[in-house]
Amino acid sequence: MTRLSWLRAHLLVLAAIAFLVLLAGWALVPSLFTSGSPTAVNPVASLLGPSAQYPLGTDQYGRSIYTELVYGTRPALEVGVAATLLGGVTGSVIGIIGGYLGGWADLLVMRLIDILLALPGLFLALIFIAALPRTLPNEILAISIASVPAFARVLRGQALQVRSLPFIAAATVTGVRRGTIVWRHVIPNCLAPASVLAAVNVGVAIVVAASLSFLGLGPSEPVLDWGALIASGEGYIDKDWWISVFPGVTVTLLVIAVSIIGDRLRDVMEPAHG
Amino acid sequence: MGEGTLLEVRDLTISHRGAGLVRDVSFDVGPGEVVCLVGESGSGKTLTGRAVLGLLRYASQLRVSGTIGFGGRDLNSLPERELRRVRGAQIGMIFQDPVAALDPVIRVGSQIAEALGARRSAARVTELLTQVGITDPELRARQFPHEISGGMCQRVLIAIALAGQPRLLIADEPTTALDVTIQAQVLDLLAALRRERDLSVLLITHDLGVAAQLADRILVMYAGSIVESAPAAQFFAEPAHPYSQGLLRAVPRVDVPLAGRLPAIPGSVPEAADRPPGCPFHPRCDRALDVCRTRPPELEPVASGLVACHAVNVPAAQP
Repeated sequence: MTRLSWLRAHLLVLAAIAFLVLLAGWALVPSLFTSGSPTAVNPVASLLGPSAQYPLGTDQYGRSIYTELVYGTRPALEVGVAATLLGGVTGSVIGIIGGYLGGWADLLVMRLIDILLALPGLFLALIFIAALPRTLPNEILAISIASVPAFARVLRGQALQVRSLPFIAAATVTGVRRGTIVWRHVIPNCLAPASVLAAVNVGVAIVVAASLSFLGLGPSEPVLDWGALIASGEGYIDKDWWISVFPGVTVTLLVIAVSIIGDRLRDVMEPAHG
Repeated sequence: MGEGTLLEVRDLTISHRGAGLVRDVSFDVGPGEVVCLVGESGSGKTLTGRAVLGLLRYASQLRVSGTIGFGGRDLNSLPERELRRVRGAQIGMIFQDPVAALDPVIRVGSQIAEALGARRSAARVTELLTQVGITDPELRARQFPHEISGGMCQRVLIAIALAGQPRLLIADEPTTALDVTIQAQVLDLLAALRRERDLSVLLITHDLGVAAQLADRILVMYAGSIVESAPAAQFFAEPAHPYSQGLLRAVPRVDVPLAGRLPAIPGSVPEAADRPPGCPFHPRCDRALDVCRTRPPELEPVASGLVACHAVNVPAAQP
């Protein structure tokens, strides 16, 4: 394959990776990407449209949307990754144990998971955030619960499949304990689909976090993240659309980029068993 | 437990929703003896092998009854916790598809170390790999299963099975997935191990050529039952059961020129749910009598061993 055709075939994936690298840069060293301060108020420059000085316009206090967007990346990603880790591990444990052990406990847990799966993630998060004090850890907890059903479902299916593979029987007949079999053989062979799901879920978690902030249900101590930014433009959306639209587009692009990479990862990782 | 028996299977019956997949199977394996379970696909030979180590316990739809005597205990009624101590340490097992029987994400050496349990060491791993004829064992131990050949995977599985120093090895179609030259090497290895360690082997195969190379005794299974049991030499010289005769006629011979087509047994093994009444083989049998259609034959002693066939047993019983 020539270099050019390779580039063309992987253009989408490369663009997605480039976008994620840019976001990683924003999150790690925001000062490198913008000279301003996200909290610098300038009453003279309030509600300006996109221009050379303010590439994405300004909000009602004259703050640069671009600068706010860049500085909002780290808290947004932190919430997304933390919620995915928490929910992913919980859901995976439920799924793997249910799938490997089977029986009535598996049936019961999975019917519960099915009920949760029928509810949109945002709705689940709303139920929990409504019942909890509005702090950042609670927000992460609420969002993580929204991702538990998907992980449990996928990992249960994978564990069911792995359980019936010959190497599990082979380990059993050498006298390996069931716990050791789960830990050493079942879990490692379930990691490929779990990591693909986790990648996609980070984007989803950020959207849920942004939605909660937009609904005014974010942490009571304001965090300058994307969700808060989108929410701050709510009252101006008819005329000064740039406040909400640019952060909204960024979140959308993140979810798209992550799912493109997730799909590609699945293609690369799945044929392992032939 | 009888004198000189290691494994004593009695009336083993495995059923699925009332259909007997394996019916009243009884046999012994003596110390250092290689017993070969032969039969077509679906005859129940693999299920029999798996039942010995309790592998069917996880399949909730299967019911296993009968006794599996080993070391003075009945493995079929042994609690899982105690059965686990028998697995690997007393009875080892190797499988049909060696590549699939190794965990794809774990290095070969670690998988052998796992079987060694508390006695694990890199030196023991290397020693085991050397014993099963793997050259460059240090390198192989660091590789993943997909990096080594199928024949080598089967050697690794044998090394894993030997790690606990078992007295009995159950080999379920150990050479089926391998090509012919590798088959011969694996069979030679099994023969050598059996000589050196006085290892008993329960060899499960559909390949009479494999059986002929290793077996001391042949058990022929058909539709879930043992239909003939005989010492290997006599079985290959003078098979008694019409099914055994048909099987042997269907094998091409190098010493006899082939006249026309190789004879085959017409039809196929009946499903467990719709076996014919009487002898399950009678619709395919060229010597079927009237009684074969109504009464199932029992295993009865003949000159060479045991045979379950009215056509063989009845004439001998008449004065």
